[in-house]
Parts: sequence; structure tokens; C-alpha cells
Amino acid sequence: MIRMQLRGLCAAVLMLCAALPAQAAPKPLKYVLPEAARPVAGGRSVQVSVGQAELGSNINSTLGFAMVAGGAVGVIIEAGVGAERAQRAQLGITPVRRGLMDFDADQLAIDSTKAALAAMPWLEGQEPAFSRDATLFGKSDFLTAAATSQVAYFTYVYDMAPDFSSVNVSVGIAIASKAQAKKGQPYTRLLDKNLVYGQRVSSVVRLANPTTPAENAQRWAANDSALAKKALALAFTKAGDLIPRALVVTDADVARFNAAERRTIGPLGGKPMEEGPGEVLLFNPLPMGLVHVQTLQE
Amino acid sequence: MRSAPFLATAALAASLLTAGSAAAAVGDAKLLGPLYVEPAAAADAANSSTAGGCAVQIELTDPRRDPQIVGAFGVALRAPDDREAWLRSVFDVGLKARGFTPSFAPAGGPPDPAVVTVRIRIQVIWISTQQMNKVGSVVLRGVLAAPGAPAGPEVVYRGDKTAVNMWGSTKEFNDHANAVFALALDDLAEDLRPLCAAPPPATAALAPAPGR
Repeated sequence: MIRMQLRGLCAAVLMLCAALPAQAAPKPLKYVLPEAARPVAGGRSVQVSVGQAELGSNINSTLGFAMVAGGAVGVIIEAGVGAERAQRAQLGITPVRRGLMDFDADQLAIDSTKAALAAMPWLEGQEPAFSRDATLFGKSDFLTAAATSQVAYFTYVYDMAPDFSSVNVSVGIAIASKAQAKKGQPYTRLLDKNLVYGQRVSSVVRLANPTTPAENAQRWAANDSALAKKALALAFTKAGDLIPRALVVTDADVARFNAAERRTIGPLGGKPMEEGPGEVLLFNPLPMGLVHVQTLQE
Repeated sequence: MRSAPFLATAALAASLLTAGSAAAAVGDAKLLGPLYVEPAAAADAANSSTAGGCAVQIELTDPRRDPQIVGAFGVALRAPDDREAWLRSVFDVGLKARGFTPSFAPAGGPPDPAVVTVRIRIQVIWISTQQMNKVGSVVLRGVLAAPGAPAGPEVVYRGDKTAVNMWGSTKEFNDHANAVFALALDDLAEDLRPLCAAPPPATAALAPAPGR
């Protein structure tokens, strides 16, 4: 009996190992919006969501390794290590957050979206509505209440790299249709596979000559977080510039980008779309999408 | 027949990890409890250092955008419907537990010169997850004044806490919210105590009570 329970436990661990990578695999998104699908009668409602209340911290995950190396035990160890790493990240970011107390990142997200909408009148985007709720359910409620047949969502995340070498602003762009995807489950309209369009753009502003995480964090926090403010303003503006570009990417563009040789800048990599002095725009398969990397001039 | 317990054990164990995400993926926003509850550990610590019932008048403002949403863990975490009563309870329950006698003044009203006054602006309330952890932050901006004295400079009171997300239940996140509030309240109470010890100015001490 004990042997049978052990066999069951082993099988459970194997099932867990098999199940988790499958859950983590990104589903294909419709990241090309065909020209014929661009206009829509009545225009589109627009929602800007920022699902955080202040600058986010970021930590590396070793979950995949934990599952392979230790199965369920590995997961428990990973949880402890992750908590410790998250606490360290919070310690580093708190002084930066203090200086950003009166820095209105929500307004930057709204302004970036407005600038993007102005640059693509074909989207017929309405005045953006702001929400702190960036969950599928919150978005689904907004879609249900919308007076238009489609809604364009711009979901912002702003945080710092785990080693505090950069400030990152990323925007999930999604267009969803009001039509029900699954009866009784309205949120399924927001699932990747049911979106009219889905893409991500990121703007990364790196410190010039980053060193240790502690020193990097101090540089961002110095003078009332002056560098962090400057980098965030740059990153939000660039993210707003990238949105209209992402929405008009064609299949031919994707083929052209993919033919280029892959480049790596720090922890980031992708196919270069264009390069300038001190900056590069990379194209990646989702979930990364378009990534603009620039170095902060101090 | 023998395979039944085998499969049942496997399925149960497999569901342990997936249940969290499944539960989070179905349903609507979760609501925090209607009132702040002092965490047990914080209550013990608070009782060891009281403020002798010192009267504190609090003026509370909450200028956050979309303030009803206070976090997310797959679904949105919402403040109680009566958000004002909830926020007041944080200071009412929390400061009483730390030995004070709080009262509330309307925003923009004149401060009572006979008591310690605190203007609190809520900057951040956010409870969420980071990988396998639950993380929470509360940031309060406070301007404190001794009885009848001019207000001091603004002080920021932070409560930050990270812990392993055990079950992903609403109660667990509710407790986490209370815990980060308690941390911020500890620091606020620390700054209030010396103000309570300050002697009231003569004008305030001689001023007639309202209604006389």
C-alpha cells in the first residue's frame, strides 16, 4: 500500500513537471492587424490600465530549474529563495520609490496613449479611460460596458531590472471584440487566442556603465530620484512612439525582421529593426514584442 | 481497481499546484474585509508601549487614482464598498491598539489646538503577487503637530512586507493588507508619542471647550 502511494506521489510529481511548462508556454497572438481589419464602425473605446501603485521591482525566476532539479521539493525551496530575493529587491527599490512620490506615472501612461492615438487616427480611439484593474475580468467588464464593438487596451507595467541596471516600461496592446467568445464566460474574449490583435512594446532605459545592484540602485535614487524620473519620462514617451509602429507591422515586415541576425544587449536580445547612436529597436517573438533599448545620458 | 488510488493521489497532488491559478482565473474581484483588524503579533507589540490614551485628531485624504482597486492576485483586490469607513478603521483600531484615542476631523477643517493633530494622505495601498510571493505596500504621508503647535514637515510612513503566497486565498491577502498597515502604524505611533508628551500651549489649555 505504501509502495502504491509512493508510486502515486512520483506520478504526481511527473505530472506537475509536465503540466507547468505547458501552462507557461505563451499562446500565439495575432500580432499583425491586417489593413482590412483596421477600420471598425463606431471607432474603438480605449482603456489605459496600470496594475501597480508605484515603481515595480523585478526578480529572476529559477522556477523551471527548481522543477527539473527538485520537483515539488524544488518548488518549496524556490518559494523561499524567491521570497528572499523579492525582499532584497524591495530594499533596493524603496529609496528610488521615495523620490518618485510625486511623480505621476499614471498620467505619463495616459499621455503616452493619447500621443499614440493621435498618431494613428485610423484606430478611431476614443478618450482613454483609466483603470488600476489590469486583470482579464476588469477588462472584460469594461468591454461589456463599452458602447463600441471593439476596445483597444493599453496595459502598462513599469519597473526596474533585477540588477537595477535599467528602467523598463512595457505596454501590452490588445484589441478585443465585444462578441462573446464563450457563453457564460465573458472574460474569454480577452484570452490571447480570441483577441483581434495582441502585441507588446517595451522601452528600456539603461544606466551608463552599470555596476553592482546596490550601486545602481543608489544612482537611480540620488537627488530625489532624478535619474529615475528622467529615465521613466523617456521610457514612457518612447513606449508611446512604439505603439503606432507596432500596430501597423505587416507579415512582410515580420519576415524581414526575422531574416536579420540576432543581437544581444545585456540580458535583452532580438532581431534589430533599426539602430541609431546609443539606441536600438529589436523585434522579438511574443511575449517580448518590440523592444527599444537606449542608454541614459547623465 | 488498484489504479484508482494511484490515479487519485496523482490527480490530487497535481491539482495542488494548478488549483491556485485555476481559482484565480475564474470569478470576479475579491473584496477586502469591511474593517481593519489589528494583526495578533502587532497587537502584542503595540500593547507593550502605550501612549496613555493621548488624544489624536486625524484628517484623512485619499487622492489615489481608481482608489477602490487595492491590488491583484489574478483577480482584482477591491477595497470594501465603504472605503472611507475601512480607512478610518485603520487609524481608529490601529491607533487605539497603540494606546491613543483617535478622532477624525473633516478634510480642510481647522485643527483642534488642544490635541495632537495628524494630516494623513494615502499615497499607496497595493497588495499583489510576485512569482510565488505575496507582496504588499502601504505608503502614508503624514504631517504631524503637537497641540497648538505649527505642523512639522511631511513624513512618509511605509509598510512593506513580502512573504510566500501559501494558499492564495482572499483571507491570506486580507491579512497581508492588515500586516502592512500595522507596520506603517508602528512608525506613525513612534512619531506621535513625543508630541503627546509635549505640554499644551497656554492658549490651548485655557480655550473653552466647544459648545460652552
